[in-house]
This record gives sequence, C-alpha cells and structure tokens, in this order.
Amino acid sequence: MFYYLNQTLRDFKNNKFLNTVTVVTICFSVLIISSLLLFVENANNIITSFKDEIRIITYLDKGISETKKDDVRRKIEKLGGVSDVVYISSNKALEILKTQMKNQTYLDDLKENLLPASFEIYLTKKSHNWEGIKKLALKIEKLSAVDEVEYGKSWLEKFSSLISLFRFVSIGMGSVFFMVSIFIIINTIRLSLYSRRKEIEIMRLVGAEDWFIKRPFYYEGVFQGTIGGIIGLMLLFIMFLTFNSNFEADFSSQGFIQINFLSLEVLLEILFCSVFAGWLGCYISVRQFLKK
Amino acid sequence: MDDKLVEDISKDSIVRVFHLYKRFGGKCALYDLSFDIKRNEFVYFIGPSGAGKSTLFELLYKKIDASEGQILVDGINYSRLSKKKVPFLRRKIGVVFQDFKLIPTKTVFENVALVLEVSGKKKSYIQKKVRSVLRIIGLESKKDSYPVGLSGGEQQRVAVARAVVGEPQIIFADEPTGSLDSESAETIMDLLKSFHIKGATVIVATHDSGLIEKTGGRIINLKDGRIIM
Repeated sequence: MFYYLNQTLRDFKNNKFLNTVTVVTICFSVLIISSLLLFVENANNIITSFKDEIRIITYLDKGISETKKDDVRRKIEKLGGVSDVVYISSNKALEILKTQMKNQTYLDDLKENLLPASFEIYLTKKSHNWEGIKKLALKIEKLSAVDEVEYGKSWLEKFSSLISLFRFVSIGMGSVFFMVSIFIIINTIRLSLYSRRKEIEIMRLVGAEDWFIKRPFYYEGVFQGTIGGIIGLMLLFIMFLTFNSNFEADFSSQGFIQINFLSLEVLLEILFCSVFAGWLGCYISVRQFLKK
Repeated sequence: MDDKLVEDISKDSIVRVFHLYKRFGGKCALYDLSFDIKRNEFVYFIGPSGAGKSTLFELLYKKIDASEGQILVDGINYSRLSKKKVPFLRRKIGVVFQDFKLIPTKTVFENVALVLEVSGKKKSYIQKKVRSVLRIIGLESKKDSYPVGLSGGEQQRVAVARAVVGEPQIIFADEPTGSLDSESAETIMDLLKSFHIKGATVIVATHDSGLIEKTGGRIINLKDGRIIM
C-alpha cells in the first residue's frame, strides 16, 4: 500500500503539468455541473413553494344575494380538488387592500367601494398541476353569478417548463463534461504510461504482474478525480456564499426567497461521479496500454 | 519435440534447450540450438557481436518467444507456460542486462528493492535484504543515489545486486562487463563468481574471452546463430 501511494505521489510530482491540467479540467467540470444542479434545485424549491400557495380567486357579480352566494359556494365545494373555500366580502377586500397599501392615503378618499366580493379557493395537493387548475377554473367560470376567475401565477407554468428544459440541458451538458473529463484523464494517464514505458518494461522483466504495474495509475486517476471534485465543490461553495450574501440583502431578508446550498447527499454523489471519472479514465488507458 | 524427450529431464539439469530456432521475419537469428546446463554450473556463451547471444538470453528469460523448439528452465516448459505465469518464472531468474536497465527515477535502494516488492515481500524483510546485498556489492553508501549519479561500473553492480537480491536459482548475465573498464569488469565477475559459490547457476554471455581465463567455467561457442563445437 505504502509503495503504491509513494509511487502515485512521485508520478504526480514528475508529471506536475499534466496532472494539474487534469485536476483543473475535472474541477471546472464539477463546478459547471454542480452550479447547474444548484440552480435547478433552487428553482424547483421556488416553484414548489409557489405551488403551495396556489389558489383560484373567483370574483362574484356585484350585488349578489346571500342565497345565490351560498349556492355558488356549494357548487364550488362539490367540484373535485377543492380543499377550502374562503369568502371575501367587498368590505373585507378593501380592508386587505388598505392594509397592504398602508402608506398610501388616496384610498381614504374613496366614496364608494368598487371592489367585488370573491371566493378564495384553495386546492388539494393532488390538484397542484397546471392542467387540473385550468380545468377547474373553466368550470367555475361557467357558474352563474361568477364574474371573473383568476388563478394568477400562470407565469409559473412557463417558468416551470423553462426549468424542465434547463434540467434537460443540464443533464446533457453534465454528460458532455463528464465525457470530456474522462477523455482528458485517459490522455494524461496514457502520457504518464508512455513516459514510464521503459520502467514498465523493466518491472515486467523483474517479475511484476500487471496489477502491480496498474495499481499506482489507478490511484493516480482516483486521486485526480478526488482532488478535482473537492476543489470544484469548494469553489462552488465560495461562489454560493458570495452570491447568497448579496442575494440575501436584496430578497431573502424580505422573506421572499431562500437560496439553499446542495444537500450533503448530492455533494457526495457529485464527488463520487468525479472519482469514478478518474478511475474510468485510468482503466481505459491502462487497459489499452498494457494490451500492447 | 516429443514428450518423451521432455520427460527425460535430468534432475541435475536446470536449463535444457531442444532444437531451438528464432526467426525475425525471413532471417534466422538462432539455428537448431540444443544444450543442457547443470545446476550450479558456471557457463559462458561466447561469440562475436551478432552471434545470437542476446537473442538466446531474451528467449531464456522469456522476453521473446521461440519460433521452433523448446526451452525448459527448472522443469518449466516455456511453450506450455501461460502469459499469467511468466512473472513467476522471472522471479526464479536473475538477469543482468547489458544496458543495466535501471529505473532512472528510482534510487539505488529502490531499484534493487523492486524485485522484492513485485513478489510481495514484507517491508522489514526488504529493508534488511537490500541493505545486506548493497553491502556485499560495496554500494551501501550510495543507496540513496540515483543511477545517473553513478559510474558505469557502479550501475552494473546495482544491476547485479538487483539480479541476486531475490536469491534466484539462475543468473543470466548478458555482456555484464561489455562497457566497463578492466577493474570494474573484474569486480563484477568476482561478484558473479561469489554468487556461484553460494549455489547459483550463472550463465554469462560475452565476447571477451579474457574473462574466462580469470574465472573459469564451461564454454559454449556461438557463431551466426549456431553452436560451434
């Protein structure tokens, strides 16, 4: 074990430039892939938190009678996917508006309340999908005494599909960077093997088995993958801290959006992929070389 | 070659060669060689450059394969030896190469220790054994030097140390004094002789007949790839 580690470190020193290039490539691949993952994970969290707040607002005709109002409520409650229906009278709506715009005084001068009464319809978790919301909104719109239906945040639908597309692109780019890393590792190890071909020949002549020759190179590949992966993730964390401190000052303190770093599980998965890339690159290269 | 001949291996023989041919393309480098070397013999293969000595040695330590004929070393038939078992055969043989074949990035100690490391010996044993061999060849003080900092004679002594450190039964030395001055050559031959006295079979290829006069031993003459009687 000591012999192999010693040999690996020595190879690293002897081929400083090549090994540095490989580690830097792995590091940037990891940085790019994990940045994309970080973005996708946080965008998904934002979408999920918005989805939790999804509700359909149903504006009622002006001057609607109490009986008619109760009738509309009953009909809405009978529709599938509804968890709660809250009535907001026109006076209540004005109160809410005044609270939200407390620094504005022009609302005090209003002589007549123009805001309509409405129902805020909350949906069951199962119904948090765009197709379901759309269908429900259409059904409500058709009810008598309903003036207008709004389920806002329709931009979320577009944002959500954009994130799906982004995730797809991320997987594609991740795969390309993974392959590029492997390709570079293959070539670094190949050059390392080539520069040590005489040494390998001597090792064989004094009775070394193939595994004895291979093992330091495997360690080298795994070492490159580990170092590259750790540095890449550390850089990501530094970038995240820098970005998050600026972002918090702008948004998070107001309670809008919370940005989170990747979970330990995802970090370990990325590191594993990086180490695996190192091992695989080495495996392919050593196999090709020793076959000769 | 028929099996009867293989079965006929004498218990005293450590190397047996039967009707050995080696061709490179259309050119025949070795032609119908047959000989027998007994245990603890000191044998010289002597002949001019191009006689086929190095080719014969490369066949004997299985760097290359024979075109025809058979080689048996310590009862191992090369034609039946799988590729995986070749490293184990080489551990039974110590080879001193004409061009030393030392690893330039390893120290004297590491070059010699490599033979024991490949066979999985313990670190403490390696330390002890390598030091003792370096003491015998008079290079203990240079154990941390790299080959590039050694003279030709010293490099060849390291090569001898590497060949003997695994306590092989057979030592092949291909032109071990070829590039050395007479004093260094004598030291190398004395070393080989001392390992022979300790029980090893030593087979030396050389074009220098002066060596034989000093050390003695059986001579097999080679010329144009054939044994000359």
